[in-house]
Amino acid sequence: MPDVTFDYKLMRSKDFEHLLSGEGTPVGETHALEMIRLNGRSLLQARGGAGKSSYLQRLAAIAYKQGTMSLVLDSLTWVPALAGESDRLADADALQRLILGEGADYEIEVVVLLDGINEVSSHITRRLISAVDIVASRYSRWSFVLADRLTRREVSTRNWNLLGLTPVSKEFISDNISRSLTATDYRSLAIPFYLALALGKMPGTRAAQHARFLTEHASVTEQEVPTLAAFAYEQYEAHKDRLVDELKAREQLGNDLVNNLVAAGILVLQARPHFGHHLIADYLAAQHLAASMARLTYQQLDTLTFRASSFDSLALLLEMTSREPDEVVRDVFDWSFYGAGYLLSEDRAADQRITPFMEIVIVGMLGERMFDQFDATAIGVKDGLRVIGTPLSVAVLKSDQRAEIVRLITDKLATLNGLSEDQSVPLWFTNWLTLFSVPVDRDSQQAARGELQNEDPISGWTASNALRRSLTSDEDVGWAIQVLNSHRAPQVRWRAAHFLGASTSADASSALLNALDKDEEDWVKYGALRSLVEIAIHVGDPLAQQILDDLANRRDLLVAKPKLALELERTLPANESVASKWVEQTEKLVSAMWSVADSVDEQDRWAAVGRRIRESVLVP
Amino acid sequence: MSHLQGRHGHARVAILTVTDAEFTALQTEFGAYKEISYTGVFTLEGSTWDIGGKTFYPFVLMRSFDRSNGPANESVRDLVEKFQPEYILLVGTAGGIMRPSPAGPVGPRIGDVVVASYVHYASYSKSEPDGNKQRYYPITQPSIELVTHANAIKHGRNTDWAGAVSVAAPDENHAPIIHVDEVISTEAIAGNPDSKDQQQFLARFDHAVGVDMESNGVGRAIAEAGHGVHYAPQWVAIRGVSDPVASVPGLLEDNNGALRTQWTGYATAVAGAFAHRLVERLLASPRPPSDSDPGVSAWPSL
Repeated sequence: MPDVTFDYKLMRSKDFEHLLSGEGTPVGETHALEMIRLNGRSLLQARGGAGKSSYLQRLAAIAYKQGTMSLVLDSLTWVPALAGESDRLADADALQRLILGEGADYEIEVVVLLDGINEVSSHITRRLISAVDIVASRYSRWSFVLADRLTRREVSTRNWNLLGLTPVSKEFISDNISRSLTATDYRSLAIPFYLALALGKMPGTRAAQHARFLTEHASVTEQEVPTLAAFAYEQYEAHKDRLVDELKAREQLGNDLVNNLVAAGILVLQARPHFGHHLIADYLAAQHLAASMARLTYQQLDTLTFRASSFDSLALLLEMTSREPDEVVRDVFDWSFYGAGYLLSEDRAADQRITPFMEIVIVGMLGERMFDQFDATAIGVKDGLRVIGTPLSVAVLKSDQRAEIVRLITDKLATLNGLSEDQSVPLWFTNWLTLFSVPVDRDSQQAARGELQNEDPISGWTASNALRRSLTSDEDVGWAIQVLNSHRAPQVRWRAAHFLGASTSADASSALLNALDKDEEDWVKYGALRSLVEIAIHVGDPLAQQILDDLANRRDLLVAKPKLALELERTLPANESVASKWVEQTEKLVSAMWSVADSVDEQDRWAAVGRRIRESVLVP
Repeated sequence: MSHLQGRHGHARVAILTVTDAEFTALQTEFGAYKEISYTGVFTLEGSTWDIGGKTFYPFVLMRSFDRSNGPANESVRDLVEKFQPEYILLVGTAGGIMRPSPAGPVGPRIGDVVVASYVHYASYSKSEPDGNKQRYYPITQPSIELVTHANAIKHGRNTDWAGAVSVAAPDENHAPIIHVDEVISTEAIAGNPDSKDQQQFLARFDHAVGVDMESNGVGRAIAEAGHGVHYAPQWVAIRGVSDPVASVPGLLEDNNGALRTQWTGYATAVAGAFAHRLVERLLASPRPPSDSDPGVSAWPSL
């Protein structure tokens, strides 16, 4: 754990844009608790190693001095109390009982400090945030601080404080590190964890530190690590969180090792057995995948990260992999470009194993999505660029057109060391840059189509986007429909679905509906749905209404696949390019989703979608 | 220490409005121009008092952050958290349901006041092969105490509140009638409250006299806000009729838009005047002290 005497401070940000960019107003310790009490709920977000857990302990100490009760809880201790199905009031009651069970009382001031909400699945995190919201509104003497990674959450900034941690100051770093430091060094050392490493308090990478912990505190031998790592990964896969099957643990690991792990706090076996140290568990699960030279599959990445809610394990995987780091980034990019952005962000603050060429690719491809049709995507990629925080990503974030991004990455390329000779630029990068920056024409069309079908996801997605921008004739559409209908690789079919979103043809929408109905791969259905909404936004009636009504008639399918329902929820609220009649056009679809909702909470969800559609169209 | 203590103090009465026009009218009616901290909640300047270091307000006024049941629900939760009010009044405008009769359409006229004695939430239903089935979930209905106060104002001899409406009625002969009766709360899922679904609701709840889009959200928030025996807020909706709503097609002339434009200002103001009288009655009774509450003295007048 980082030393709490480092001089980083609490800061308050006015919105997520500022928080994710590391901007806010420092808050002194004497005012911190008062501010926390007044709104009753605060999100404390920072990257891994920045000192969130330490700061929660600091807040507990401040509360103690002020005579206020505080409780420091791990999110995992609350999760077992949840009912199986999501129910906001039952979840709030469960949280209340947990707090009362820790000795709190409604009539006394309590500050509840909830650590690691990003260590549980994103679905559980949403439930937790909702429960905190309800409990805080009922009991004005209770206040909550939730420690989280840097990510936009669905909270109202009217009554949630958005808190972050300032970096360790340059003066502190300079005073304590005697060697001369570059700007990159300062950036890395501004994070307490890495400063502690540099000061010799915790030598080695994060992964090395976890390995040492296992050896020194749990007596795990080198021979036992692969078995333990495989077990950890299996448990992640089986439970989709950090719960553990004790019987299986004893069968696979043996009683001696299990007892050592319990003694070291790595396994907790009371009540619902779980991994006690989430970072150690992440390290082990990541170690299991890092040992393989094979490409990472979507399923493996979903397992490791609890369906993209916890990314620390990805950074650990990158530290430990024997594969080329850029290849790991490609796999992650194919699965989630936000994940790739996060990985880049962590790498740039640590070992910097990802090549500058891959950095340019990630930042460029995120950057072009800033102009995406759908606000949810545009906002998400901007958040990603903010979190990456490198000079290139900061510059790209300010761009207001794609051509500017192309110029920025070309300029960046020119500044890289050793580029005086062409041979130092990898061929894959040159090919990518051509595809990214040069419009596809009839001469280059065949090559681009070939790249769309490339196994490499970066080439594939770049080609899909390039073809979308350049060519959408009937022949292009016919070709893409054929790929969508018949290519053996689901990733390629997904890219073809994405391409078809730029079309305005009825044939394209029919093919996409067919894929939505019949493709066996959920990611292809997801891509088809997204493209259908995109076509409906651009094309006039009657096709637009036909598409939306066809989707309304598929409400049962959309409800059955949560990812599809979520994508509909994200894409239907209009952005500025949509006509005012979008409200009327989407009425049947939104009402259909409302009518098959199986709970009041689900009805609320679709009522909120209807409201957001109306609001976004009414705003001039 | 008092149970009735929100993060910003305690208010006996919290008034919630919906539209900007409603809020402005109620600010004028109650003189509520003093914002409490930066909460967006207002009260009467100089009306607060301190007990044991905690701030008490006789009433506070807030505008819901948007129309419809969802935002109204969140806004009430906000009020509960900030002020733990004893009473919550939803004040604004609504549709008055006109139904056919041998003598012509009957129901609340434009410019009358509807006080909800019961709220039907029409929009929670399940689509099944043999039709739409009504479904229910718990909400707290308007309180008997507040409805009793409303009836007392309605039937009382003192009607000076009706003469003190801050906006003149478009028809100078108009004298507002108070209707204390059932109300339907609907949901504008996708922005079309004039759909055929609304006709079905009006037929199903054939005693209802008013239609709005926020009462259910308020009732639901209050059902969720109460905890234990120590806090059970009460509420009522007071609505000036700004829209006539026909229970069957063709019952009324199709000049709704023009009428609404003419009468909305008055409808809001008359609801505000009625609410003012109700709040005076509530504040005229002290809240006696108990072991857990220092009590509140009567407020002389507003």
